[in-house]
Amino acid sequence: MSATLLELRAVTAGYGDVVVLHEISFSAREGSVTALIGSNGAGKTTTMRCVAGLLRPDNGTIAWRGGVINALSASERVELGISLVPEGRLIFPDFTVEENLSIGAFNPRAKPNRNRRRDEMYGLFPRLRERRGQHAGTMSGGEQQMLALARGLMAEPKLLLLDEPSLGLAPSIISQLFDIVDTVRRMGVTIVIVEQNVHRTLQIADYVYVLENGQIVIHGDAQSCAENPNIKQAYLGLY
Amino acid sequence: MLSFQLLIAALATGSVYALIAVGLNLIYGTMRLLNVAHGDLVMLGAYATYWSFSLLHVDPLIAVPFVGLLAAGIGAAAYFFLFQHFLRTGSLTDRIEANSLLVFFGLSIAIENLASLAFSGNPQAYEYLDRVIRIGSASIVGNRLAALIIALCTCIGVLLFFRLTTLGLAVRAIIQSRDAAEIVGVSARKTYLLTFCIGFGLAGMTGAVVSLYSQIWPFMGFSYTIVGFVIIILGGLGNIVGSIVGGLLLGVLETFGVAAVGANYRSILIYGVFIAIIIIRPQGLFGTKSTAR
Ligand SMILES: Nc1ncnc2c1ncn2[C@@H]1O[C@H](COP(=O)(O)OP(=O)(O)OP(=O)(O)O)[C@@H](O)[C@H]1O
Ligand SMILES: [Mg+2]
Repeated sequence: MSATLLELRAVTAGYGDVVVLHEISFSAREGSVTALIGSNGAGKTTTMRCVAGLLRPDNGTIAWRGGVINALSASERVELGISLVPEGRLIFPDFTVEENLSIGAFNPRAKPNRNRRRDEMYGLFPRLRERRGQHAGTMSGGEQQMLALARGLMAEPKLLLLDEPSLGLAPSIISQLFDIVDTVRRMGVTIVIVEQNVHRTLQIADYVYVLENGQIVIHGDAQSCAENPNIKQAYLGLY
Repeated sequence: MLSFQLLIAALATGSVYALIAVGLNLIYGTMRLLNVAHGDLVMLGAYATYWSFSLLHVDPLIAVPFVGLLAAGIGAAAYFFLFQHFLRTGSLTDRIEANSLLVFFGLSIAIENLASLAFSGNPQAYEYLDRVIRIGSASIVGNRLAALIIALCTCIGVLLFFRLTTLGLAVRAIIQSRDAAEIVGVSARKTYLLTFCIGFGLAGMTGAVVSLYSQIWPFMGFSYTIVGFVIIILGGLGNIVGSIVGGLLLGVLETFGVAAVGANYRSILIYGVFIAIIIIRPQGLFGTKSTAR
């Protein structure tokens, strides 16, 4: 079995006085796809922000290959290999598509291969190549979503955090997206994915955590979760 | 009216205005901090150049970059000692802005009064390159021309830095979104430090440039801060190109306006531009919603 890349131990976090996550524990094994599912407001985005370093936990530890990284800023975590494709995309609206991709490779690990990597992204997302000179803020929501994903990959991540990557994409594009996620994992990148599209997610995931009201209520390998009656009822619309 | 002579004069004024505004806007754009002590750094830069010329006989043109470096050092010190703790969290933005305005204001008052104690309140000046040079049908004093060239070249240099270098791209990323920049690996803390250095450094250089042709005194800074502030409103908050174009534009408006209605109306012209922009186009001439937050 592969080693644990990321581990959260009893992480409590929130915004100001509002506690959102209550002693969450989960881990992601190297080379695996870990899915985080849960209803709206459960705390999935909050969890991703904690891992990426945009939010500091009030309590608990976040460990990377066994070492505690609580004190590292988001940019320092990018250097380790953690790359977030955030909910709401957070692309740079005043930059062109090309500039957005270039800045994606800002960290010293990725910078030397920047141009080659950018061409790879244009191969993976032909639409972005067509739009390379366009200001990102003027692109459609779906195009921006692709750009956010491509920018996240530019960082040459070891751990890719995907927060609802299919949001706003047309159904045909969604299936392409899951293909791309599969390609990325076969390149050896560890993935943690938050998705509303639970059916497709369970097909590509190895391990699943279900988050409700800021607590992990169910976890297990993807196959057993797909057969779990509670998950079937709440997330797959099956009885 | 549209004489070449006036155009040269407008360019001489406008290029220095642009230089002031770029430094001020850089700090505003990246950190949402309005540096009301910016003009006082201009004043310190002017005195540094004046003293190095009159005591050490250093050629002012050679002093310009060194004064800039010195001011950049003051910027780094200000960042570490006064602002670092405000900027550590991004969540309390409103309070950061209010607090930092007070800190800058205090800094401004302290600098001005210490300067008037140390340098005396009397205006000073030195004579340098004061021959008149003819360019076609126009004439310009040598020191004015030198100031124009330095200011314009520095503005172009800053522009190229932001357009062409990866570090410049990183600063522009922070200007658009701190969180987005952090998750691609741009350190907000390092960028803030860099911005303090460049912003203060440009203010110091402006002072060195201004001292070439103008009288200097401890309380000269305020009017520069005001001019800078008007321009960044004109060109758009956080918009570097807008500041340069805005600075040149204000130089033109002021020069031609004064030529038309007289020097007594200079302040009215500048404040008039300010109020007109606030009413008609609060996002600035070239501002978009995203750069104006
Ligand atoms: N900046 C914030 N300030 C205060 N509360 C917040 C903030 N962001 C999120 N919350 C609250 O935290 C809780 C969890 O939010 P979070 O965004 O993590 O949910 P989520 O599981 O990602 O939901 P969704 O599926 O809708 O994206 C919500 O109740 C939300 O209102
Ligand atoms: Mg969410």
